[in-house]
Amino acid sequence: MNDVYIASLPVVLAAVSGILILVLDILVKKSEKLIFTLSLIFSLLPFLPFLIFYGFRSKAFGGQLITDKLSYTFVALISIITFFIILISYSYNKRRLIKYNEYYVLLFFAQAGLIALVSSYNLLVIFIAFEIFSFSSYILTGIVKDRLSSEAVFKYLFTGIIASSIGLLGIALLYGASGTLFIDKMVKTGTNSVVIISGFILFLINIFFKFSLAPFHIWTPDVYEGAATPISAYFSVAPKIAIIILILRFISLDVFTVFNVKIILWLIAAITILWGNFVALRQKNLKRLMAYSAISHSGYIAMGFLLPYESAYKYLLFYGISYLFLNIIAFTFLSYLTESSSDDVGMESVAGLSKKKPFESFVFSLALISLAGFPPTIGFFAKFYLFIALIESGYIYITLIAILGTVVSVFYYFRIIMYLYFKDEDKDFKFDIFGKIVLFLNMVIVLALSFYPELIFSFLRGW
Amino acid sequence: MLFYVLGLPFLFAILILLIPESKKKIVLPVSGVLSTIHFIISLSLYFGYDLSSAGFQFIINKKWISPGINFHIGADGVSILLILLTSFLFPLSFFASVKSVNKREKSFAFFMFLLEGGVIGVFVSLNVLLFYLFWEIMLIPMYFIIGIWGGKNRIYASFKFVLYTMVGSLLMLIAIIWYFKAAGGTSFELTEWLSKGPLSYAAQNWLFLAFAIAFMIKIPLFPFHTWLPDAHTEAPTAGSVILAGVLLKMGIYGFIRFGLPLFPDAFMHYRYLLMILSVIGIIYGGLMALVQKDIKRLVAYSSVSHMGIIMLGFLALNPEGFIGSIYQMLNHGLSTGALFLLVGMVYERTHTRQISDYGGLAKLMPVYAAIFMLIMFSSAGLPGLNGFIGEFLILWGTFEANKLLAVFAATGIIIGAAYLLWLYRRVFNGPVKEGLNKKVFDLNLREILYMVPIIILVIWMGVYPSTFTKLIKIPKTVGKHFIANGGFEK
Repeated sequence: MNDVYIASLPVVLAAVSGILILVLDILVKKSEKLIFTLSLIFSLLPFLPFLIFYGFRSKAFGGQLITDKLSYTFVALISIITFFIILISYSYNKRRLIKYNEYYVLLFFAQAGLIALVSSYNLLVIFIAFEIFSFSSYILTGIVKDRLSSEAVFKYLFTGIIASSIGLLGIALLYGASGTLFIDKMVKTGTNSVVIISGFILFLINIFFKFSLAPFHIWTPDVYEGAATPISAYFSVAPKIAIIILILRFISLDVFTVFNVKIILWLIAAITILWGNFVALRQKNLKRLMAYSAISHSGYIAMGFLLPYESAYKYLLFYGISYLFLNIIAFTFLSYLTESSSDDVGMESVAGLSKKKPFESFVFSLALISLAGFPPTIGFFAKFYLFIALIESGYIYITLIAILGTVVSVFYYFRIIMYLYFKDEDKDFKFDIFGKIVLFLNMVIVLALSFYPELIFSFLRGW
Repeated sequence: MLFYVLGLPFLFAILILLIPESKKKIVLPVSGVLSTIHFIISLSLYFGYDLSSAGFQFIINKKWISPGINFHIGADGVSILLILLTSFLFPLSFFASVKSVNKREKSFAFFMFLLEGGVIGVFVSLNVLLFYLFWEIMLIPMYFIIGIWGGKNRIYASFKFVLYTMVGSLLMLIAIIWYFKAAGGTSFELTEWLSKGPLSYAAQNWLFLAFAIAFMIKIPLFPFHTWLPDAHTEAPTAGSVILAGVLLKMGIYGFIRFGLPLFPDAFMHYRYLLMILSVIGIIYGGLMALVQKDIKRLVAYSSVSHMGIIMLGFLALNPEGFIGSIYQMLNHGLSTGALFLLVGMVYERTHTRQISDYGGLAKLMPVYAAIFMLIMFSSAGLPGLNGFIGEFLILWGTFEANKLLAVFAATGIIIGAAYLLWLYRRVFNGPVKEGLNKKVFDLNLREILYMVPIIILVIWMGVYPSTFTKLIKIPKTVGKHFIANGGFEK
């Protein structure tokens, strides 16, 4: 009985937060500040179940909704992400004249969808959760009213719907062949027919699409470029962490081995790493560049899908968590470069910025250096652990491909730093207190994690 | 003690950031004083080192990160000499930069201290991954030092520097992870790896190549040297001094500490090839130096040549060659560092580095000319000055190992004398170049003061080397691979 409440608490918290804000928006006039403050508080609410119930397994609705260590870890992370995104959204929305308080509502609905996504073994629940997230994100992409954003939302919507239908077809095939919607039961029946495997691959394609793995990544740069920058930041971290956790659930059941798809994962990871990194080289727009950087990091993470559960659990989450903070830093910085008229942040727009904004440039460079995997930053340890685990499991060649990708990535990350520091121009931008807080907090976290990477492992153990 | 020597630069880096922006004129002098204090503290390593035992001393070993990455540091004679060289050159670079670095002084001092900490970290790490971390840490400050305060082509040079080094070090990282797995997958401790004995020959072969490429790029050994002339030429004076003075030594240090002990069979297999590459480097570097039109580029190519000599001495694998090689590292750090300082001094006055823009400088700057001549002779290996001792020992060692290569190496050293003397003739002698007398004035007190310690050391090391050589105890891990008769078929 109690189980029902505990298991559904995280999802309900997020959904109710969204509904409350929606109601408030209707009742109160000129409510921008109030709603912003409330959203900030609400965004931290899901942290409570993490603190109280971590390590406590519960089931609800006949096992369709479960909570365990994995889902609570995600709940904690998503509340951190939403908190930071809302902090940087306020001034960004003012600058870009985004006056819709639905913005915050949709963030919470997306959050509810993602939490549901990581709390189930049921393929249909996973599908619906994906759709809740996707529909919120379609609207969020289009919430800025300009040409780029409209273009982005159409591309995202059409390709997204196609991917979802392919995924749904996969689920149908799986259900037809195995007679169950629960992936854990499906694995136990041990059937391994062509229908099951092809169904599973179709189901995976939907995930690959959302995770922006090549060749299903084409929407990513356009959407990142067109969407409001805080939203791009959200897209680059929240769904990724959710999918990492979802995949960890699959790995814990050994699904990839049972259904024989490891070779596909291998290929997709390799293609993504190469594609993301090499195409990023040619980007002039910083948001597009970060999109390709995000794609290549998806590739690195996808290598981790090949690992056995023990190491995948530790090192994939390590990678995801470190990547989360670094990406929030990078996008926070970019979101402040945006002016009211356009969202075009070319490489030139940061030229020589370090003279007027030494602190912000330092934090941004720290994030870029770390994303490039330079020691002794957290990004290095993330890659290092992943490489160790991969080599221990015998995946040598993909590790070498990843190394090649890392070398290439140095080019474009360091080119941004080069513009920041080595150019003689004197650009300046306004960073308000929220942006500084976000940068400072994330810097402290990144530096602390760089010197004590084991903090992440102790976080995963529930402190 | 060693902990403070390693940690102080990082502390100073943060302290410097606390100086308010309005007082930025004092940043570089203060940094100079701080790093002088650091040098005095690091002298305690020299006096505190127990000469009766050859092993590592001042050991600190703390658990840091799983799996098996410990904060394990310690120093033997070789490390201590290289640390002293590092902490000796940094104050000089700071004092030399007071005039020439006139933008973003705080960041400059910050990066310099970070660099110093990283370099010292490389020389004291006894954990392979800790070594790798420090090896990479120093890359980023150097990138910024070249890129922000460098010359016209600084962006190209800094990119080339980072990419070359990054390729090498990522190969090394893979090799380290591989070795870690092969050695049981529990520890990155060097002593533990060594106690397990060397790997199979096939594994050694690949891993050694990965390590060796990283080290060869850093040294730089022919044909991996092309980043060096660009980086040296474009870097600010302090950057060139540190780059030539200490950063290049890390490659050879890597061979001594890791390359030979971990992969003895592969090392022996590739030894002859490495020796030939060193000799090619000596002659090629010298010939390239002969035809350079830019003084700094000339000194940079002379570095390629000198690093070849040092590497050759180590590859001889006998006590004479080894001691000579370590001693020559100190000499090269001093004399090439000093040459860069001297080039920096005239560059500040004339803003040109083209040899053809100079002439008759000895009449205008007699003190400068005298100091330049002394340093030049030290670099060319004149008996009585430091360079001679090292080169003599190296040639002796090489001669025992392989007579033919020794002959070629000696030829290379003669080329060294040729390009330096020719440079001197073109810059200092002859008629005074037009317009030069308006820009040029002789050295001021600050410049003389920071050259004095170098001059004293150059003579001291030439006359009484045992002050320093007594510290060069041949490490057991290296000594047991020494070969009595050269190891080549006659």
